[in-house]
Amino acid sequence: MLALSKKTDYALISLAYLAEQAGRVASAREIGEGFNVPVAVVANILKSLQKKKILQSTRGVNGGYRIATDLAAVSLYELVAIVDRTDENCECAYDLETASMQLGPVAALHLKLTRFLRDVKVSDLVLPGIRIDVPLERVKTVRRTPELALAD
Amino acid sequence: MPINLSETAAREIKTIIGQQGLPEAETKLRVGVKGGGCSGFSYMLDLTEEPKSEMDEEMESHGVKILVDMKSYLYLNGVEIDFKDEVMGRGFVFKNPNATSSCGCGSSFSA
Repeated sequence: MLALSKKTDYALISLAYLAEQAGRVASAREIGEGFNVPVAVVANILKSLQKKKILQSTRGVNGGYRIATDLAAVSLYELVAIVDRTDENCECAYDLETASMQLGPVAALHLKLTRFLRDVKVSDLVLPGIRIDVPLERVKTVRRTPELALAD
Repeated sequence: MPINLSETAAREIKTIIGQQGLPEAETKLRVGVKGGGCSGFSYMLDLTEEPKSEMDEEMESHGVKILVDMKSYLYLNGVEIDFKDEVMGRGFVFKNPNATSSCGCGSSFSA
């Protein structure tokens, strides 16, 4: 099943939290404990994002991370690449270079996936008022029950 | 303050009502919050033929009747609901002046 990795999910949780802090720094511990996700994993993710200048870090007792860039300028593709592709031996299904060497239809599919991941911006996923809160498919229909009809 | 739908959101709700064959005059949009997300509440939207109960507030926006239970209304007062159709997919966006934090899973907020 094609899905975002846990690390990408944790990165999105962290960025959503930091986006809400209006410039206040937050530590990996604060995020990890607040959202019940592993602090060590969050710490590594935040460090990776800081190296790519998406986050800015402050040292010290009250140190932590804050967002240092416009999240509308960061694609999901870039985020996945930063967070998931640290292992040089990892073969990524969406790699343009790899896709170009594959069977035509498979390459076409990979290219389409890559384009999609490049088109989705991190801001679309984490910023309230911008992200989709209720996907269309989640709008439920509650039909009138016979009991209710009789009660009228 | 009431809950407001944008014109686009109201149009989309009316389209769903039509597609599902629901009775236009009786169908209401129930807006609510529920627990379960990683930082507290998440939003829900239901189309319902059930009548307003004593625990509900009722309002109307762009021709769509809206129901909200009083508990949810504490968190949804002043919310504007918009509709997006873009590369990410199609769905409803809540602009909530009461929300103070949200989570990356996109399903929850706290107020």
